[in-house]
Order: sequence, then C-alpha cells, then structure tokens
Amino acid sequence: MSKAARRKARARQRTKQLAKAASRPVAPVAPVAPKKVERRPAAQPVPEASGPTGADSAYALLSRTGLPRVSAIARRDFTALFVSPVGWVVAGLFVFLVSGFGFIATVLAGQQATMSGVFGVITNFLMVVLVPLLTMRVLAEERSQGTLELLLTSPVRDWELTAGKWVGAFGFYVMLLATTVVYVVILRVYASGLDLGLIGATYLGLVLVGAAAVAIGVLASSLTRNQIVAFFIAMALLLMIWYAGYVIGFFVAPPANQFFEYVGGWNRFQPFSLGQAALRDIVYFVTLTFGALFLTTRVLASRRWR
Amino acid sequence: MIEVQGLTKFYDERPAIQDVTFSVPRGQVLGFLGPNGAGKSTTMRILTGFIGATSGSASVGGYDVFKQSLEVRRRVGYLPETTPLYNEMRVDGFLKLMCKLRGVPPSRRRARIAEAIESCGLEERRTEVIGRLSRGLRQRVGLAQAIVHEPDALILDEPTAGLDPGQTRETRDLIKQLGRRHTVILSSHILSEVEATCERVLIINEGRIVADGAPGKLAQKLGSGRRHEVQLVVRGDAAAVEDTVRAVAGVDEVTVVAEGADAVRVVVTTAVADLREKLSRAVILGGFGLLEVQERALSLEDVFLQLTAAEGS
Repeated sequence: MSKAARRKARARQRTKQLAKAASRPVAPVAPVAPKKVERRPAAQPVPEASGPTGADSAYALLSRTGLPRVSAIARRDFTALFVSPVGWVVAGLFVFLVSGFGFIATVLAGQQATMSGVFGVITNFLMVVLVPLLTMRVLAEERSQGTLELLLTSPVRDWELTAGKWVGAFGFYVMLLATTVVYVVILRVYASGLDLGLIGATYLGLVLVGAAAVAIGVLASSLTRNQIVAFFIAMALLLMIWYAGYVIGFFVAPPANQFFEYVGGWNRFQPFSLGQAALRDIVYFVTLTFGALFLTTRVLASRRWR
Repeated sequence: MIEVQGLTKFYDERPAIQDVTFSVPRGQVLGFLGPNGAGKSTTMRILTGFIGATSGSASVGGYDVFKQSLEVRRRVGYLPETTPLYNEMRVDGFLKLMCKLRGVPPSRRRARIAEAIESCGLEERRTEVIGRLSRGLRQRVGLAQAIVHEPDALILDEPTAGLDPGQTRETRDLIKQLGRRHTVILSSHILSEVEATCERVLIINEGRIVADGAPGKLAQKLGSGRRHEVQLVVRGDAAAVEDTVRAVAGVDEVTVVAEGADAVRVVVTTAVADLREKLSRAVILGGFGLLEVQERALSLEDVFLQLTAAEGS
C-alpha cells in the first residue's frame, strides 16, 4: 500500500470514529467497521486502534462474569492435549481398548448385542487410569514450568483458572466418550431390541462420573508440581471414591459399611447403568465435581497466605 | 505509581524481606540490585499479587496490592525470572491468549499484538513455535507478553539472566525504550546493567534495603573518604622501584609483584584523590621505564560489594 493510500485509509477511519462517537449506540454499524481495519496483514504499520465498539461493550459485560478467561484457558488446555503426546496416547489407548475389549470381545466374539462391554472399559479403565493421565499435567505442569506465575499474575481469578482447567480436560473426556457412540449406531443398524433409554441413561451417568473424575484429577494436579505424583494421587483418590463401598466397606463393621456402600461412586453409578437417572445420584456426582473444584481453588489461593 | 510501605515476608521462620519501603514515581526506571537470594524476586512477586506478605502494605497506581489484586494485575506487566512461556504455542497465538487473559477488548487485540511484536523485534518470528526459539528470543517474547495489555508498570525479574552479551545488549536497549512509556522496576545482580539502564538504584541485601539513589551518586557518596588505588607497571629493579614509590608524599601502602621478566606491578593505596602524576614523575626521574599507570575509581560494583559484605559479616 502506498503512503498516500495509507494516509487516506487512516483519515477514513478517523471520520468513522468521529461518526461513531457522535452517535453512540450504533450496534449494527460497529461490527462491520473495525473488521476492515483488522484484516490487514499485521506486518504493516498498525492502524491506531478504533474506539470502543458494540462488540467491545458486550465483551466488557461478559468479561465481568469471567467466562472469556475460562474459555481462553480451557481452549488452550484442550488444544495442548493434541500437541502433547499425552493426549494422543490416552486417545489411542482408549480407542484400542474400547474396540478390543468392549466391542470385538463382547459383541463379535461374545455374540451379544450390548454396550455393556464398551461401558465396562470406560468405567474400569478410562475413569481410573486415563482420566488421571489426562489431568495430571493441568496444574502440576504450570507449577513446574512457572507458567502458573504468568496466569496468576494476570487478572484471572482463582476460580476462573480452576474452571478453565476443568472445562479443557472435561471437553477431551466428552470427546473420547462421544467416539463410543459409533458402537451404538452399529448395534442399532445390525441388531434389534436395543434399549436406547438404558443407553442414554448410562451415557448421562458416564458424563456425570467423568465430570467428577476430571475435577478430582484437577485437584490432585493442584497439590504438586510433579506430574507423576499428581497421577498417583488422582488414581488413589478415584479408586478410593469409586470403590469405597467394596474396599472400605469390606473392612468396616456392619452399620458403618452401609454408609460406605452408599457413598461409593460405583454404587451411585449403578442406577444409571440400569437405566434410571435418579436425582440423588445426579446430585452426588455434581456435588463431588463442585467440591473438588472448590478445594482446587482454595489450594491455588493458599499461595497468598503461605 | 508504586508505593511500598514496611513490607515484610517470612517463609516459615526465615525472613525473605524485612521492612522494605520505597516508592517509584510514574515514568521512572528503577533498578533492584542485590545478590541472589536477597529478596528481589519475593518483592516483585508480592507486587504482582502472586504471593502475599506477612505484614506491610503495597500499592500500584493507587490500588492496594492485597485488597484490589485484580485491578493491580490489570495494570502491571510482569516478566518472571525463568521466563515461563507455553512452549507448544506459536508466538502470536501465545500473545493472543495473554490478551484474552488480561482483558484486552477484541477490537484492540490485533493492534496490541502487532505493537508488542514490533517493539520487541519479533516480526520475523510471529508464527514460530516458542519451544524452538533461542534464549534471547524467548526473552523478547516474555517482554512482549508483559507489554501486550498496555500496563502502566512493568516489573521485570532479571530480564537479562542467561543471555549472551549480544542478546543482553539488545534486551537492555529494549528495556530502555520501554522505560520511556512505562514505569519500570527491573532486578539484577549485574551492576553494569543497572548502571546502564536505570535512573535509580535500590540495593537490597538479606531482605533489607541498604542503599537508594542514582547510580553515579551512589558510588560518589560512598566513595568519599575511602581509599584510592593506583596501579603502575614499571621496568626496573623491584626493591629500587619500591623505595622510589614509597618516597612520594601521600603514599600509604605499596605492594610490588613481578610482572614479566624485568618489570614489576606496583599497587599503591592512598587517601589522596589522584596520585598518578606525582607517581609517574617520581618513577621517570628515578630512571625507570614507566609502562602503565592506572587509577581505579570506585565503581558501583565496589559500593555493592562493600555494602553487601558489611551486611553479611
């Protein structure tokens, strides 16, 4: 672009700005005007930034809720999983196990038109091994790399960071879970008598269980700067909560063991796999999720008084 | 712009900083000087809201660092000591993320990123993956993220640590430029760096501020009333040279060391400001060959060493 043309463009922009300033609420005009300026290749001299637009005031409003920062952190974490080997290892392992044990072994070799093999892989393996693998780095790595300092000295609230981390990892979990819908479709096409209500309830249960498991993984990752340690803490916590009814309940005398059977994650998930979505079970997993995320926020905040 | 009052921070029982008080007016470039572990990073981390303090108060731009942390963080650009960056991201993607986290409105993001990239000389590298950049370039990306949201104050923790001499000079020039538009606090344990870039120096040792002033003035103030040192390299017999030098008025101590086959290095300490002329005249009149004369002025380095050594003992 020649100098004269650039000057002209700048003048045009200035008049636009003035016009905008004169008549403030110009929502329909605003989103169009700045875009033209922004499309320029950035290596060229930067135009003076335009005044506040309608999009900006909407952003300022939205910004107060913290959502833009939560989504920015979540997006970075989600994409980082595709760049790092961990994401691929987890995804590859998951697909391999689900197709191998969940589908080939149960459906093809076992000759049963059922999703229980697939769900079994998810509850027994994804939940207690792969989720810790997914979440072990989220905060431990930030701590060891020092990028946590970068995040927490930005105007990001502690809960926004926690929520962003959770959303990022949970998104990946949901994506993995979604790949198994393929088998539902296959069974639907080739087999009759598939109970879609039951499958739907199980998926709802798995989403809720995953939300809680990822939250517990994020909590474990906030406790240490070592990813391996974070992995084992998460796995220990998940095994303990998931099988509390069996493990702790086994060693405790009768009246108390009923309590542990009641709060065990596996026992709370059972109704879903039988096709019932009971409110108390939903509340159980949602509480677990929020509880773990709340504790993570407190762990992050503890740096201020330590 | 930045006010710090009686700031104290204990890590368990050990004090990291004690009763640190200073203020930085808008537009000043302040150097924070001290040996490793003196409390520079601790002070900076408190100012940026990363950690709390045990007691005392601090404010940036009128906002309390502890009570209005978000407001402070919006107005501060911070480069931590280790230059933490997301290695898997590209330079422009990383800066965009930082814009989002720091609340730069969408319409201004592109312009802000372009400006940060330009002021840090990263135009050629904007789409490169951060993990593949050299140490010096990483440092520039670190500076770019610190200025991308147009902060009022910049806090840079050892911005030139680990850079080679060329990169160090570039980074210093960059900081000088940034100092024209921002209030800057930078920390360093390298004296020449602070001397070269800062208008004012704060020397901190073992968690306490031990000196505060312009770099030149500080050396002058502490240099007065102290001993001076003149070094001569003379060709001739060691004993004869020593006698000749001792005879000069004002000379207190003389040390003679052999220098090469037939020359000696003579170190003279004196309370008189400049004895070079008298000494060289005496040497030449004594019939010796004068090869070198040098007075060592007291530099900021000496001030620093004296202050920190005195504190340490």
